[in-house]
Amino acid sequence: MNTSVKKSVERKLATRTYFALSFIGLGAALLLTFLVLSSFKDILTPQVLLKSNVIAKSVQTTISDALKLGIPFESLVGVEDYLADVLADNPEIDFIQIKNQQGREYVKYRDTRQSAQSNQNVIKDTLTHDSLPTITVGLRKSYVNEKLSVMVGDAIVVSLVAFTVGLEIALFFVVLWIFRPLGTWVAMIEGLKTGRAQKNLSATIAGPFSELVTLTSQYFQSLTSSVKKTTPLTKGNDWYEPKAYDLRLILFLFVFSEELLRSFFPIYVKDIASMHTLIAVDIDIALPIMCYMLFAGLGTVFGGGLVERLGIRNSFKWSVVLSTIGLGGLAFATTVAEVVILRALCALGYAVATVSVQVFMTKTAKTDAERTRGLSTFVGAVTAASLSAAPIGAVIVQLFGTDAAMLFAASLAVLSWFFFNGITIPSFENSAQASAANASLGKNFSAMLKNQKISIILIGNVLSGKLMLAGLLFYLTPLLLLEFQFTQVSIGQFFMFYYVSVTLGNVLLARFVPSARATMPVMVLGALLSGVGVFSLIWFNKPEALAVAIVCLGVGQSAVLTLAPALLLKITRTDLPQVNIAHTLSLVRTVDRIGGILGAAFAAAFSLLIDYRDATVGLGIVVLTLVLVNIGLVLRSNRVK
Amino acid sequence: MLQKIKIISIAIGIIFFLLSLLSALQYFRFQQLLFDITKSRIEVPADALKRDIERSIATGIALHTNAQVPLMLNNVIQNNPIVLSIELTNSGLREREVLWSAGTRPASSQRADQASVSNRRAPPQQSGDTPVFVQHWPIVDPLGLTVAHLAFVSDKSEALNVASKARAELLRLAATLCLVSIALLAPILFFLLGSLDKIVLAAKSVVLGSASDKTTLLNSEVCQLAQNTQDVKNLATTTTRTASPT
Repeated sequence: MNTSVKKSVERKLATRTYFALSFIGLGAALLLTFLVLSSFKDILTPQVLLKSNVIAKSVQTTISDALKLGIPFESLVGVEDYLADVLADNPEIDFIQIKNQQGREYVKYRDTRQSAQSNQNVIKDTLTHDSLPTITVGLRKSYVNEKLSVMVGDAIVVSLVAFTVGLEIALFFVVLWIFRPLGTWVAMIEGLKTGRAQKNLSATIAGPFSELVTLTSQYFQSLTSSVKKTTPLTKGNDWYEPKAYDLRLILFLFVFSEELLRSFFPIYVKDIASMHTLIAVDIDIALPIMCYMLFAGLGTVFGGGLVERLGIRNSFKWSVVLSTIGLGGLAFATTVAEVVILRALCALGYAVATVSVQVFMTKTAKTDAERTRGLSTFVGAVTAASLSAAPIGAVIVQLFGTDAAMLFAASLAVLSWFFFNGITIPSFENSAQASAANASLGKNFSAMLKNQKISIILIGNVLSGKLMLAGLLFYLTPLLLLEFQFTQVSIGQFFMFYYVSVTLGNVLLARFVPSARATMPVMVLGALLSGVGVFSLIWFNKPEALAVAIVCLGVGQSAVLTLAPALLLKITRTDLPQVNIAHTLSLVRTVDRIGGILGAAFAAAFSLLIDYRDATVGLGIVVLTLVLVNIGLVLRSNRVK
Repeated sequence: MLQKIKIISIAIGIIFFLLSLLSALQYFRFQQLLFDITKSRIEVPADALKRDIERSIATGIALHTNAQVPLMLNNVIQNNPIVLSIELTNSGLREREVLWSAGTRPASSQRADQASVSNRRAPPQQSGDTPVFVQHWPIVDPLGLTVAHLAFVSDKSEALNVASKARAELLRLAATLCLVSIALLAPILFFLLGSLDKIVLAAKSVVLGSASDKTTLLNSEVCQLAQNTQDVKNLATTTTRTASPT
């Protein structure tokens, strides 16, 4: 009896629960924003009126000073220009009127066309004096609304962040209470069917279906005691077979702990470097980023061998130890050298941890479909952590300071180990194969780099993209936003422009997969877009222009990060069949890290010579120069045709 | 029942997290806006004073010999009670020399001046400290060279009072909405999760070999798994009977 259920009651229940939670959660967030805005408007309007009163006083003093010189009121020269200047400096003012005791007046409106109807939309504030002219200032009612409208954007950002984090937490409980008991149950049924040896029932089985699992287990025990077993009973075996999603929350927490620093790290290093400069402040800011990229690259390349030698559990344990020391140590660091060393530890920890998680996910997958699901679990957890960590980190910094944020990040890394400890780890089966593969790594790298097409894709797309990412997003963005007078919280939210763009770009690419012929042009376009956005800063020295640059980078990178590895794998399959997939991806990651090092180095060198805005533009020029290498690829494909 | 409470509490936790994060970010945004508006109030007299000082420099009067400056500074303080002190300092020297000043500069303003940009530790407010804003303007001569700096220290306590009023209001609204959300979500989830009990009961009866509703059996994946258990169980029992001597 195994009828397929298209829309089962369980699925309906899950959908309804999800919608109820989303509807009420988002509804509450929107309602809170609406109520808060109207309440804040009532609080802010008197404060703006106080300012308009100060302006009125200032205008009255200026006019009275002129009158004291003996100039008659009607003959005052330049009043119109003066009032125009005041209006230009104070965007909240709609008009200013100066009236003397005889009823003569000077009036200046912000927009002369609206002067007739503007009376309904202004709050008038009149300053009278016995002997001086009366000043009336019209305050635009819409001014406070304009200022508060930013908060609606905040509500969207926060809803997105909270829902991402909420979803991860919910998924953890879904795995714990639904997937794990059901997985155990299915394994037990399979065991009953095939007459496999009795295994142990994990003590961590919980949730609504645990009762059914226990019941089946009891039956199994009674059966094995009455029936002769076909296979010997082995101890220490759990019915539940580990799955990729078991590590989702663990990976989320670990990546979250690292990404938490994203929005404030350059500002934190700048602060330390300003007090104890190692080389030059701008270079000092780049040093930890470069060191991080270098050690992360080394950790990624050699991480596989390390995991093979130490095992998944030990590798992850040592990664957590390194990351905890690195992140926690940053709270007490006082010199740039200390920061550089601690970031190297963080990078090693991060690289080895992600490699061990990837190995776990590969080992737990039995079929191609499970492998794909494992990969999407990995990407999903990393994206969710990257998306939500920067804004939350910024809030922690604003509330408690960067040191507390570092300690919080370290505690999150420890927490990830706490969850990891309860996971069953699959054993290694093909370590001999892995050792042999590691030995040929250098040979394969050199073979791939000798291939012109591969080199062009790596330099013109992968390296250039990462160069821009590290230089613009990791180095220059926080510093530029600080120059634009952004608060830490706003800087944190700004980072979402990148992650949301990447996510949306990936979704679009997954939905509309480019044809084989279009893959290369779309990838090159992505690389071009990654570098071209920063040129908006030449014409507009505004945060909006930086946002455009970041969005362009995000969209461009979504194309490059998806299509470049696909193209490289295709080329290696046809041109270099002896090179395996793992080595191709390993080369991509290595070049990616080199791009990161170069990005931070270029950003630092430019910042030393020119200001941050020009450094950003300079970075764009470097990226576009590298993207030009793609011409070689186009010429080659034309020649082939 | 306990399972239902657990699931509902997780959902409530997520709603609580969403509203807390939203409230925190809204508050910081508001505080920044409020501080900007309060600081812009100082900008009006500060710009006027800067213009007057620069005009006097343009006429050829040296800054340190201009006896009008202290009068101008005092005048600004008298007309703007929010301004606590104004200092005109010499530019170019490593140790800034105060040329003219008016009002008394609170000790907390020195700390505000030295505060780091990265906010490594949230600064502890010392008792008796006057919270202040410190704003600087450069004084430029007709050649475009910065010859002095104008520093305004103004009272922040009024802005902080307004901010705390807004925080209280925000907390009240967030708490109310949180309670309303819980009041709405808990019964909805309780009602929805009622079907979970039915599924578990039906599956349990299938595992134990009792008769179960056919529609539930067809529409539930869990019940089908239970049916699988029952089928295997029956098969195993038959095998046992065949194997045992009768």
